[in-house]
Amino acid sequence: MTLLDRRRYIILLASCGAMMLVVLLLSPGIGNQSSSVGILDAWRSLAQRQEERPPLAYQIGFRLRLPRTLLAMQCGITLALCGAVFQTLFRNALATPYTLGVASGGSLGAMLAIRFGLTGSVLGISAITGSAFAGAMAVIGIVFLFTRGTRRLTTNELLLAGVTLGMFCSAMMMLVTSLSTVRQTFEIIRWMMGSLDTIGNLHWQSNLPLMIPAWVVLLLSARALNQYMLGEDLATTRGVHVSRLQFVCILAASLATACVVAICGPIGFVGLVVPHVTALLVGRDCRILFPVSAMLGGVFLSICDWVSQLAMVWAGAFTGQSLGAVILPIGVITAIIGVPIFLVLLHRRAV
Amino acid sequence: MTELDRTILSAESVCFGFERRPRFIQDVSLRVSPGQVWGILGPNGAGKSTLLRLLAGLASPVSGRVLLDGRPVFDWPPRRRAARIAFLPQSPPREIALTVRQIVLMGRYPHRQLGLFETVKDIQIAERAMVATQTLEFADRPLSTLSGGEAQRVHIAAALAQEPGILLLDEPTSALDLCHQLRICELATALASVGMAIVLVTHDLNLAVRYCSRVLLLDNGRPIAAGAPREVITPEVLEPVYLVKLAMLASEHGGWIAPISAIDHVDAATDADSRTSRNQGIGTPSGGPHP
Repeated sequence: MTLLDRRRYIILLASCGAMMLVVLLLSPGIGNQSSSVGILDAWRSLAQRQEERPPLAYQIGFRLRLPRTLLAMQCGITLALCGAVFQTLFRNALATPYTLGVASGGSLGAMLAIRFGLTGSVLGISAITGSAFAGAMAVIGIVFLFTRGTRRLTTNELLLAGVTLGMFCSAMMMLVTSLSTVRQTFEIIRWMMGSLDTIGNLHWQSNLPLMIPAWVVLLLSARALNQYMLGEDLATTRGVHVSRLQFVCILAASLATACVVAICGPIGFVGLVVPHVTALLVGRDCRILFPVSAMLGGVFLSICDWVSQLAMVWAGAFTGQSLGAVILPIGVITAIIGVPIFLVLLHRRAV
Repeated sequence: MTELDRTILSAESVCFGFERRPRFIQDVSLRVSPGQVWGILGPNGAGKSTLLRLLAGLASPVSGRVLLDGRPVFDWPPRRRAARIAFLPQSPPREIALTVRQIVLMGRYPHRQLGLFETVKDIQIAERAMVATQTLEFADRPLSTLSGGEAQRVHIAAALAQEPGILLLDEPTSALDLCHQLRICELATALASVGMAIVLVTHDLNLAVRYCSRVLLLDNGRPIAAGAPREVITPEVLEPVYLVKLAMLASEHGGWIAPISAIDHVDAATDADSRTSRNQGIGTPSGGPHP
């Protein structure tokens, strides 16, 4: 990175940061609850928050919408960052944060909780969330058992192990589904679509003690992962402790991803495509790719969440019928928005 | 003689094996001093690359020792070792979307513990390395758009930017055109003359004669001969190892070794016998590869 690049780097990060800030500033005014509460109403109501009964605009803007966007943002950051790390670590363009089976393990965990009717919560964490997290952790644990064996697995073998475990979990999910009632099956399918609604009784802050350290570790690994792109031998002779790097990155990325899956379900697509779009825009140098990818992921998922809330409202206004304020699954929106953008970029690059 | 007596990298009766070939490298010894250019020769599968990996600390010998500055090279902290030894694998990656300049600057990794950005000094060193390898002209192109030989020179530049005391090169000239083969070899001698130690694996016997100060001939994981290139690179020593009829041609630039014909199967059997006896004769530690 030359001196010129350093200026470009700072400008890039600053503009991504500005985008995140704009999203957060807009967030109290955007949502499917009571469309009469606009951005200005929400921010104006901030002055009256000390009153005994805070105005509706404050409650909607700052107790519902802003926390929801904060959750969307942290999930987007985590998924896009972990996707970029896994694509680099496995040298595979198809790698996602879910490649090692974290999503399948989490889904199986959530599904078991739903099937056996586990309810209630411990320390503000619902049984479904806790069970999903446990499922994700179990899969990561098994993957790590493999890496600690007598023979260290190559990254490709690790990928295969993760994919196979994921398949096993999927099979188990089918088994559990076939033994569930129609109502439970519906609940399971809704959970697997991924949604920021499942926040339930959990605060958006509760993820941060796990996520922020993970982000820091992954961002700090960027220089070593650059060397890793040259192959394990070259990276080793350049001074990278390769097995430690792999261990730390997989652990950090899996823990952060497990948080996302446990709370929001397996939201797809962000972790695959945001890193690729970012790479097409800024290149593959991990020092730029990781932070930009993370921030774009946060912005992208927040915007997708708005669209998922408002799509039916807009559709209702367009057709002149009231379709209700149904929230569409966010995974659908990420794909509808993201796929065209990605394909256009890919096409332009290829031509 | 530019050679110093100090040994900085040495292999002492090193043995190494794989799961399927437990006794592959056997009893190889080597002493590298600053200013030397060592050439490691031998047919395919003789163990040249494996020996180089042992010297680089990428693998630990089953018995014997590889010492860097008197300490087992495998035990060095990776980053400190990287500041001493640079390594170029036989086929370094080419499908990387980074630019040439970025790749060369990555050679500076072991010299900066912290800090995201390269310093002005890093940039100057990388620039010099690119000039030395004639890669500056395509500094801003992605590596993936270069030809094989160009990419190879970029990786050599990155190894130079690492500013090592010891340079380990696995077939550095294999993909290069004639001009760049000579330039890289001249670069190697120039670096050696200012005190760098270089160990390179090569199949080019004539380049080894001209540019190496010492050569080690391996066959089947065993040392066959070691010493000055003129003593080792002769038809008598090489023919039974390479199974090729060789001729030494006189020229105004000195002797040139030329392959004439492959020794066919029937002869190979008898030659293999003489080869074993030769192994026993030369491969013993006393006649072994000490300079």
